[in-house]
Amino acid sequence: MPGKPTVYERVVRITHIYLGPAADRFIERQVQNHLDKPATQLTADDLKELIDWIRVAVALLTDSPEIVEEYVQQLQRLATNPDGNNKRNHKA
Amino acid sequence: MNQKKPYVSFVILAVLYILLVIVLPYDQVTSRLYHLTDTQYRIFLTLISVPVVLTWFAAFYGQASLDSYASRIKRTAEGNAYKRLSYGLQWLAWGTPIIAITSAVLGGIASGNPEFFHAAVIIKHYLIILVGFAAAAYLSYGSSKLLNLLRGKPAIISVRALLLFYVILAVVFVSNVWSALQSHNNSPYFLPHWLIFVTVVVPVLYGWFMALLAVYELLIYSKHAKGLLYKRSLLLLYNGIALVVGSAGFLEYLLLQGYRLRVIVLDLQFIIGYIALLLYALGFILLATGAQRLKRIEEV
Repeated sequence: MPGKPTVYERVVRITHIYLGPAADRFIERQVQNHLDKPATQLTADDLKELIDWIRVAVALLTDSPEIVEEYVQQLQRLATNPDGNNKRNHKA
Repeated sequence: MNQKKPYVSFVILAVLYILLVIVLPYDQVTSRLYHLTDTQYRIFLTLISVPVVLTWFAAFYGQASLDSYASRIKRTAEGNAYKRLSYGLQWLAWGTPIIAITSAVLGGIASGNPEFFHAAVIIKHYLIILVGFAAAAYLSYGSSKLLNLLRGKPAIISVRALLLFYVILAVVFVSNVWSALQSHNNSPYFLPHWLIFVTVVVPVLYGWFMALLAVYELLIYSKHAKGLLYKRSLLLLYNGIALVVGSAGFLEYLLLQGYRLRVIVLDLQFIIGYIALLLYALGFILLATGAQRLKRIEEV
């Protein structure tokens, strides 16, 4: 019986919308480099700081601030409701 | 240090080629055609060679960019696939200057030894076929590995259009070969008919099939890949590879139709060849841009 998805898995699921197969590697790097812990130990309390680092990193990957904001907003929704469902609402 | 190696190789090949252009005996047919002296011929040949050498640089740059990305993700599921794609492009990046250099040397030898001319053309043709086949094989292997990573069965874009396109290409090529063989004075192959079909036509057609299949599989993969930012970069890479494969295939076709080693005729075929070279270089630049953006995703 599959368990409840961890915070890390939820974050990767959202990131997958934007970074596809590179999502897990991206999040692992952000958590390890900036939060100094293994990605699997990511908690809801870490999300606020992680989101700030992700905003900076993703801004380097696109010239479109709308995409960055959309991604960050989805993560912020996760941060305010880490146990709830995240509805995908991204622009194509 | 590894990233400098391809550019060092390019400089060596480019310098070697330009030196050969300057040093080898000048081609009398071209000189007479355009009323050029020895010095004028060499300046003419050098000027014509500059755009060609620049396309080689674009090819080395593109291949090095993809190889760098493939190395960055070597421990991932896609890493091996991209490495195979990189090997395919490496065959093209290295193969084009090696064919040009070999052709120049063979032409230089043949100009002093006319009995060597047929052998020189045969060697050049087989080199072209080998480079094209090897490049297509690696590209096809890489694309099939990428396609296997897609979960579930992807919605297949019509194969019929692809098959029709391939059949048209094959018919055009085979009919051109057949016409050339019927015209005994104008055949560029200098081989028995059966040997031409077994060692030229079959490998060329199979190489083209693998190359088309690679482009088709990469199209499916890029259409079904997830990730808004990832997909945008992947599409650049795909468009670049498609342009490289298309222009390389066309250049292979042009080169196999003729038996010029060093004779240069400024005709329509020459202009079309240069346009194909330009598209070839553009393809490599596009794929380099895509590969660099994909690599940046793995680094930030």
